[in-house]
Amino acid sequence: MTKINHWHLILLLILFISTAMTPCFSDATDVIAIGTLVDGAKAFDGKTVVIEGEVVGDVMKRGLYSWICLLDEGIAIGVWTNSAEIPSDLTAGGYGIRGDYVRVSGEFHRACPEHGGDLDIHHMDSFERTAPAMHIAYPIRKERVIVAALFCMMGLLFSLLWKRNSAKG
Amino acid sequence: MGKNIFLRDCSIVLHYTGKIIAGLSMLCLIPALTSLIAGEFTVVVDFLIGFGAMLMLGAGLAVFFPNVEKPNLMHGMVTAGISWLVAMIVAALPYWLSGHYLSYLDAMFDVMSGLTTTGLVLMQNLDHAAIGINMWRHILTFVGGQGIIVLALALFSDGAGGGFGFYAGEGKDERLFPSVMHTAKSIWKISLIYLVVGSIAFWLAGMAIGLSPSRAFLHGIWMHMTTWSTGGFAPMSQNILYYHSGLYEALTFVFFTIGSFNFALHASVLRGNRRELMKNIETVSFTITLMLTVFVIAWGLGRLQVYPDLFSMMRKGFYHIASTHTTTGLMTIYPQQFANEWGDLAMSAIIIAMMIGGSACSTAGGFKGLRFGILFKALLQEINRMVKPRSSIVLQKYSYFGRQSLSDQQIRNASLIVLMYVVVFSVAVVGSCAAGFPLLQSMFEAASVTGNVGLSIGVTTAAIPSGLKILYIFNMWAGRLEFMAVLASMGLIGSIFARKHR
Repeated sequence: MTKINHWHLILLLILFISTAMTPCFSDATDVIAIGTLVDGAKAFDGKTVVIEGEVVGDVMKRGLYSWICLLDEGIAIGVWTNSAEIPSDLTAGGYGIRGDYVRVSGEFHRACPEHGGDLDIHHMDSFERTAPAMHIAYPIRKERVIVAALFCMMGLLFSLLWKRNSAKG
Repeated sequence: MGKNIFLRDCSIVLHYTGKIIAGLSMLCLIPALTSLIAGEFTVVVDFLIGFGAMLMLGAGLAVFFPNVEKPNLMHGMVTAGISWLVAMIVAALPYWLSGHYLSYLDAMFDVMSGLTTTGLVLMQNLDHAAIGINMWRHILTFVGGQGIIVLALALFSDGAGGGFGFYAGEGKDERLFPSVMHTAKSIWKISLIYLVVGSIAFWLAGMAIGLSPSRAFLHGIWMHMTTWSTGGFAPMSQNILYYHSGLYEALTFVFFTIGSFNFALHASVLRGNRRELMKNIETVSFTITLMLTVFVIAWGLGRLQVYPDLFSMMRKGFYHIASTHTTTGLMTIYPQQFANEWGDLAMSAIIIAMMIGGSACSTAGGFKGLRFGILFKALLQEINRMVKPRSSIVLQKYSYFGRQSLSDQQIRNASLIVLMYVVVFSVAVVGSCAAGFPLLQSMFEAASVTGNVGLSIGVTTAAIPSGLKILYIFNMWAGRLEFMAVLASMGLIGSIFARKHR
C-alpha cells in the first residue's frame, strides 16, 4: 500500500484551490458588464473587452458587416461585426422571445471614428452562444377578459345614452 | 346663487372633459388592432380594458353632466388643464397592465411624458415591449404634439362656439382660419399629410440600413410620429443610437425641424407664401440661436477633445443641439456621456437651447422662439429709446405673418410666460437638488422636463423619489400648456377645497 506523504497533501490542496477558483478567474474577471463599460467609457476606450448579453432587436446587415445589439442588465450596446461570423440561426429577443445569450470579445470605442463618434464594440474577435433563445408565453387571463367585456359594454351603454341626450338637444 | 354658478362651471368643465376622454378612448383601438395583427392577444385584452375604461369615464361624464350652456374662455382653459390630467390617469391603464412599470405613478409619468412630447422614459425592459405598447407610446406622442383638445375639436366640435378657450388652453393661439374648428381640422390635415410622407421616407431608409420590410415599416411610422411631434420616444432603449445610421439621423433632423415650426407657417408655405419662411421672426430667431448654441457646443467639445475628429464632433454636437432646440430629445449618446464626457460648456449650450425651444403653435416646447424674438426686439427698442432724443418716437417692427409693430401688451405677455418658465424650472432644480443630484445635472434635467425636451443626463429613472416624479409631471404639464390653463385649473381645484373647508 502506498504511503500518503505531505507532498501528496500539498498537491491535493493545490488541486482543490484551483478547482474552486476556476469560475472566478475564467468568467468574472473577463466579462465586463455593459453598464460598467458605459460608465467608465474613458478608461476602457480602445481596449479589447469581453461582454455577454442577450441579442435584442434586429440584426442590421450593411454589406459585409452587420450591427447586432446586446442587452445586459437594462443597458444595450451595438456590436459591429463581420456578417459571416454571425450564425444564420441567431435569434434576437423581443416581445415573447428571450433572445440568444452570446459572449463576444472586441475593441471598445467610446467615440468610434468609423461610425461618427458612436459608442460601440468593433472588430469582434470571438463570438460564443452561451444560452439559446426561448419563447416566453403570455397566457390570456380570464379575469382581464371579463373586465374588458364589462368596461366595453358599460362604455357603449353610456355612449348610447349620450347620443340620445344629444339628439334630444 | 354663487354656489349654483360654481356647480354650473364644474358641470360644463366635466362635460367637455368627458368628451375629450371619449375621443381619446378611440385611439386605444389602434394599438389593439396592431397587437391583434401581430398575434399579441394578451395585449389586445389590455387595450380593450383601456378603451372600455376611457369610454365609460368619458361618455359617463358627458351623460351625468349634460351641457346646458355654451362654454366661455375660462371653461375652455380649465377643461384643457383638467382633461390633460384625467387623460394621464386613464391612458396609463394599458401601460400598467403591460407589466413594464414598477408603479402606476411610473406609468402615468410616461403618459404625461408622451402627451407633452417630452420623451423621458420610466418604462422597464423596453427592448422586449409588445408592438402594441410601442404603438400606444408613439400615438400618445403624436396626438399630444397636435394637442388632445385639437383632436377633440376636429372630431366633435359642432361649431357652437367657445372653442377658442379650449384651443388656447392647450398653448396654441394662432388661428389658421377664422374658425377654431377649421383650424383644428387643418392642423390634423397637415399632420396626416406629413405622417404619410415621413413614414414612407423612414420605411425606405429603414430597409436601406438593414431592417426587414415589416420592422422598417413599424419603425418608420413610430419614428415619424416621434420626430414630427418633437417627442423623443424610440422603440428601442438605445434611442436613435440603435440604428447607427447617418441617414436615419438626417431624416429625423429634417422631420423634427419641420415639426418644430408654427402650424400657421406650414399653412402659409403650403398656400405658396415661401417668403414667410425666410423672414418670420420665429425662423430667424431659431436660426440665430441654433447657430450660436452650435458654436458654443463645438467650442466645449473641441476644448475637451471629446471626439476623435471634426466630423464626429459636429455630427454629435449639431445633432444634439438641433434635437434639444426643437425640444425633440432624441439621443445618439448615453445619458452618462453628458455627465462624464461633455463638460460644463457644452452642457450650458444644451440647457439654453432646451429653455428656448421651438415655435409657438407647433408641437415643440420651451418658452418659444417667438417670445425670445419679441424680448430681444424689446431690448433693442429700449436701447434705441436711451440713445435717441426724448422727443423721438421709437417703433420696433418685426415680421410675423405680416409686418407687426411691437406693442407693450406683447412684451408683457412674453415676459410673463418666460418668467413662469423660469419659476417652474427653478422649482424643479431645487427639487432635483433636494433629491441628492448635483446642481448641473439638476439644471439639465429640470430644463428638459420644463421645456418638454426629453434629453436626460441620467437623473430620470424609476429609482428617483415619487415626489420628484410628481414634480416633473407637473412641470411637463405646465410647460406644455403654457401655464394659463394650469393656473385656471388650479384656481378651480382650489375653490373646490375652499368650499369644502368653509
